[in-house]
Amino acid sequence: MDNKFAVIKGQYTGKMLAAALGVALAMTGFSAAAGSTATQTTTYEVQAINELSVSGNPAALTVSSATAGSAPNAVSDTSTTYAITTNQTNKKITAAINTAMPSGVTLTVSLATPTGGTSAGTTTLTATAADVVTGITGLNESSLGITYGLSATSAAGVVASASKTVTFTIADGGV
Amino acid sequence: MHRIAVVLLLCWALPSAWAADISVVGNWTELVDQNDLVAGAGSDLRSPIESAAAQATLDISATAGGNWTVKVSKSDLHWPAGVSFAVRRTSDGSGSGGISGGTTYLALSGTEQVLFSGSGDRSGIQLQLKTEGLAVGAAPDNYSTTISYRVE
Repeated sequence: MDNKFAVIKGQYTGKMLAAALGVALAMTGFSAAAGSTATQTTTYEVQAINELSVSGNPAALTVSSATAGSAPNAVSDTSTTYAITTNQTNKKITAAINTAMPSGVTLTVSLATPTGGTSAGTTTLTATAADVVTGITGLNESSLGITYGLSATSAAGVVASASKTVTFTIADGGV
Repeated sequence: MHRIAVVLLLCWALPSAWAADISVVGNWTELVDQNDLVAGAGSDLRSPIESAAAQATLDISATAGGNWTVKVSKSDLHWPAGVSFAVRRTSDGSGSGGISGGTTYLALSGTEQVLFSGSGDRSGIQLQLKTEGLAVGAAPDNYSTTISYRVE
């Protein structure tokens, strides 16, 4: 009898244990799932960045000499540089002057090649934009050299001093 | 009887130790453009980029006065390679109990790390966020990461 009672008591105790444990787990599980984690979202919008600058104006270019029997000597200036930052792909730099050069007088420009890009080398400047560097992708570089050149034919004669505004532009495309 | 007493003790103890609730208010959206260049053309983006000191606010409740730990991790939705993200606590908040740790930036990863710990209910715990390594090599786009705060 004692043994039987002991068994019944043991079963009864086991059910209570299970029920109590179930209640305990349900309580803790519910609470944890309800609010133990919180989230927030961080978002960056990186906009297109295309910045180009030059260090200043070159010195005046003056054609004033020639070797007998040859065209007047061309002159050049390498005193200026440019800097560029872009976070886009396949960009190019174009160059143009505000008004056409006098007949027989040629102004050229050559830009040093930024990493990964391609310089067009010496390019004649006109009022129509010309590609001077192509294939520029995601970079920031500065102190890149600019070389201006001025030449004139004998037929150009004496040309009065004038200033030209050279506009460099970062544009889509290239290569 | 002795076993029942143990179970009842668990019923009483577990909710107070594990049921703490956590909530966060305040997302961070940052616009990065040419104004974020260190020195204009030729330079790269400034780094780090930090949020306001009180960019987000955490509340911890239902602690029943018990001890708790806040763990944090991040899950990148679309995030540029090489760019790190960090968070730190900039205020203690208010309430019962105390709070400690987390006042220096913790670089986040996909693995949970302890940010700070404390006891009792606390509200108004301010957080500051920071990213490092964003450069012009990252193409224009929207980049997002989700930060998960878990209290236990």
